Amino acid sequence: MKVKLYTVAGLFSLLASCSSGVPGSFTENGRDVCIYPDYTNCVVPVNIAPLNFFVKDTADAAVLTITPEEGSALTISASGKNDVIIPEKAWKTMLAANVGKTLKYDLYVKKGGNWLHYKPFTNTVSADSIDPYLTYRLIEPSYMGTGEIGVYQYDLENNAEKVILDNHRCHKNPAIRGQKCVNCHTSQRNHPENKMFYYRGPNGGLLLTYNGKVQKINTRAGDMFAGTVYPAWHPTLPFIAFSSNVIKQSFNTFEINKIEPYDLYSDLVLYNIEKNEITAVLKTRNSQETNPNWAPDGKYLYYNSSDSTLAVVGNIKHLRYNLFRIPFNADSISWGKPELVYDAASKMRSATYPRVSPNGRYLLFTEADYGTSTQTNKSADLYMMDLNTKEVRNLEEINCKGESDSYHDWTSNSKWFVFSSRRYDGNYSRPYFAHVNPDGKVSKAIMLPHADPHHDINLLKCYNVPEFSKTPVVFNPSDFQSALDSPELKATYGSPIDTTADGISGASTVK
Amino acid sequence: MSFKQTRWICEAVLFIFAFLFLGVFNAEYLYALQAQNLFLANSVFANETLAQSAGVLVYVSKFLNQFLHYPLLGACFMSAGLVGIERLVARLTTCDCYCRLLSVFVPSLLVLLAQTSAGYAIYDNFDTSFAVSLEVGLLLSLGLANAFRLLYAKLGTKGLAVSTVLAIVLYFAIGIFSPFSLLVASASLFASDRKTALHFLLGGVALLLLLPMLATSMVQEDYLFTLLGPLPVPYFKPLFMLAMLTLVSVVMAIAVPIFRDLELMQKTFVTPACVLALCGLTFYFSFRDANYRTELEMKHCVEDMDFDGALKVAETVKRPTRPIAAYRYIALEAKGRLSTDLFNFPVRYDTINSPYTDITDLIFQPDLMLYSSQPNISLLWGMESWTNTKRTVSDLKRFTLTSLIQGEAELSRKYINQLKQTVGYSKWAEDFEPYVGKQQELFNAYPVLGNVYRHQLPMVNSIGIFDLPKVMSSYSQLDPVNMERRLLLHLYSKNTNAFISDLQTVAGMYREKMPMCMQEIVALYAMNTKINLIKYFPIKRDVAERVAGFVKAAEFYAKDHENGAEQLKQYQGSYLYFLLFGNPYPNANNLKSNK
Repeated sequence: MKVKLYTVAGLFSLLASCSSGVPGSFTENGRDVCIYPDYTNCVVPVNIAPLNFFVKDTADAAVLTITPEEGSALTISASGKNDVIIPEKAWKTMLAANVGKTLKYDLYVKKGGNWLHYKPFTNTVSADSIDPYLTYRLIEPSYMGTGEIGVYQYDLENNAEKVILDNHRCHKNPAIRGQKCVNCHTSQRNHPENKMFYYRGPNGGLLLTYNGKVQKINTRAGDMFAGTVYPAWHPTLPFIAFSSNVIKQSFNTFEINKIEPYDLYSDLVLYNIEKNEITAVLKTRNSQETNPNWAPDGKYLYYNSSDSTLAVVGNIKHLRYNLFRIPFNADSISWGKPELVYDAASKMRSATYPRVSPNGRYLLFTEADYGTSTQTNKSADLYMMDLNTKEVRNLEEINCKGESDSYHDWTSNSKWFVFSSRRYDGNYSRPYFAHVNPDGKVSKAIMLPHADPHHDINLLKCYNVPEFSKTPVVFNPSDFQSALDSPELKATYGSPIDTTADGISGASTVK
Repeated sequence: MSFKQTRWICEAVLFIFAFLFLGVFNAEYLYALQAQNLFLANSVFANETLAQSAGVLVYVSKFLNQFLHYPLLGACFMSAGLVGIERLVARLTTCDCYCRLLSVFVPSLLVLLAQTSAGYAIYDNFDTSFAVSLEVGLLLSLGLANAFRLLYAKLGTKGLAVSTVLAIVLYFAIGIFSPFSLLVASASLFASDRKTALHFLLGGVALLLLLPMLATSMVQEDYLFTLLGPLPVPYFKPLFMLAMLTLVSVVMAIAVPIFRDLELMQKTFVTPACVLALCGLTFYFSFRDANYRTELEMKHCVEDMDFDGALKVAETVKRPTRPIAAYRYIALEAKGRLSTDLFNFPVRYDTINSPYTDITDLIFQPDLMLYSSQPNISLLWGMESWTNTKRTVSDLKRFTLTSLIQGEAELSRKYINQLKQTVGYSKWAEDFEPYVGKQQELFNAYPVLGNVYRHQLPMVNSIGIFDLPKVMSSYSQLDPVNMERRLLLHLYSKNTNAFISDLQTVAGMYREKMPMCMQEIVALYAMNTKINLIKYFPIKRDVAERVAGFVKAAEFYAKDHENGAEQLKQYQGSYLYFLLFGNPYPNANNLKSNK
């Protein structure tokens, strides 16, 4: 339960906005505004919460006027450190009345007793709404220890954050200090009330919310060399595809990529929730499969697979991934032959995190110079494939050269996607949204808004794996804690055990 | 002298002792309490802090804790608080005799003892604002107990109900001190109104047991934290015990009846002398480990880039600990004296005087790595400390330096903006702000940071959490500055084979001039192996003779290093003396008891 100091600040701002107006006289300075976050000239979803910002320029005071095409203008006086806090009710009314239209922003900044008028900017209100909830993990950009870590849900329509579960219970007590990690959350696309995430460490496990019940499950079964890691919930059926990864980290003494996570081994498995059974999807010796993602009809499982293994190439910089998909027959629960979807390795590049839009039109993925864990790789950019034409393009309009753009997810209407980027300071990732228009053009990325526009400047944690949801989490942290305190349900293994694995070649069993 | 005058004198004794003990004797410790903590004036920090048990008290304490950056100022308000505790305890009982007067000083002195006894816990996951929260919490408890008594006197049973409701509401703000105030109110009524005292007692105990159960599902904390917050958990045994003892002493000082005053106590200055004696006991039982104090001072100097100051402090050390040696190493490195003075130091090392030995490396490794031109590895260690123990302003400062050195402008700006929100470091942040994105200007102003940057190795090497010798050994090729660092670290690790092996690959570096410590080991190698390396290096005759003399003399003490180190003191400062008698990695199991 967090105290929202900025609710109070917002009220004060509202009062201030009522008492102030546009300056009577001002000078045109002809310059673009300098605000944080940068909400200039972008497309905004009709249901988004106020896009509050602060004026970065040194100023004595600031006044903003938003003039919509429909309805009356809204004038706001900046509070505190030139914070422009937009009244929520007026904002929502204005967006609702201006769908498909533009909002014009006029910013006046007072410097040395004179008011300056900056070049106006506009925002276009899109009729395409954004899914109202964003789930993410907050983690310090730490290297080994997990620190205080948790999974949270953000209400995008009301700028409110809720804890799903964090590890603070144990982190503060050094007597039970350990690697307690909360990670890899996801929900079922067409039944978003079904969710899952992991609570790692002693007494941990996969926390699965299914059919209104929370359970702790141990998904490591049979000859799997590691537990399950990256999940993909089948859009309609009670199946979760997982990659099972042995993940290592490399700490570079000099390079600007200070840390590089990589996989030593990885394969794909399927968890049948109702049978509580794990079966192998792909057990390979010469490649590694990871980051599964279902096609919206559930007939294909997309994933990325390495062209070799680290044991062969010897250096993670020589390890590259291509995008594949494998057909799935839900009736017989069987798999077809893997198909190459995108060959990045032949271009000396690596493609990871395939995410198909729910309308089946686009495949969004990350491309980098090498590797699969691109969240810390400064060469990582977002690419999009039109699945009708197979045309692939670099989303240059939103990518930040030299900083990682990664971890993306689509809204249920396929009109928006979220991704996390370290573009602002190179170290702390933040979620950004972008709109895809019918031609496949992507609008300028906008940062997650907050009631306090300084929130992400002051937050010393990274947003990790942002994912949309249409419904909120209905369980409380105490429900998850009860599941954690209960005995685990151990999954059975329904595939043959590989007795020939040598532990070196990337086969499923590491001896 | 009247009773009132005696009391004033006693209070003056308490204030002066506490002020001197905190502000002078423990000045570095107070500074460290704030350096090992973090308060930021922003909504993110406020939300995070207020969401934990006793959140308001913790938030206020963290804010006040910042003022310990100025130890005399901190000592002043903390000493005044101790007198305040004494006053409030006295107010809750009938303080009309000298024995009672003496007893009401006990809780304040126990608070003082707890405040000054954190020791090495300050580097662990221990909230160092405890020194403030214990005092402020007690003041609030005692004030509330007074208010509850008044409420009961005015409203009777209704007053009791109002008090209980207030205690429940305040529990979420001040934690354990809220139900404790009901216990204190009970103690204060124990002699006069047993029935009401019992009601307060039952209310206090019930809330103490029930409220944490309710709160634990809301604040997402370990149950012990919720139960005890903001007091330390039993992991920090001495501090936990002292905190509990303090709470018990408050109840005892108020509730235990004194039937007859001692005549002796009524004599002039006897009671003040007794208070002074209690102060003496506080001093005696406090944590005063000399090495700990030296480490605090040296860490402070290094963080302020006062390397001469750090070396001056090191001169007084008799048996160093690893943190002391590390900070001396940093200072020597910064002053360019590593090769000449590294081994000119006492060689018999002590372990740190603490049960929390698993955090020893976190104390110094981030600084050591930074000044050894390994900013990425410094960040790795610093983040380990940040996440595994707690966030500190000290780490934030180093992160700022690291990002400035690496030229990461926006990241530097982010850290600087955070530091500008603090009381003690806003000036520091403003001083460094002009260097954001201006590496060369930074290096001109702070050449030591320029050296860090210049001597980074332009090659990628993937390593983990290792100590410096292992980090340096992991490279296949090094520039002359780093090679000399590696050679010296081989010597420090007593890895003479690796030293000789590396030396032969860079023999050209020492054709004309060679540090004394290296001359010694080359001479010794020649003696032992009959491989005459001497002719390749400028080994002075007197050095060779001295080595021969040492080897001969040391034969008697091969198995008695303590005695040998004493008997062969004339060789102190030489590498061979270190090689034979030095124990730079003392046995971690050989712990001294924690005072």
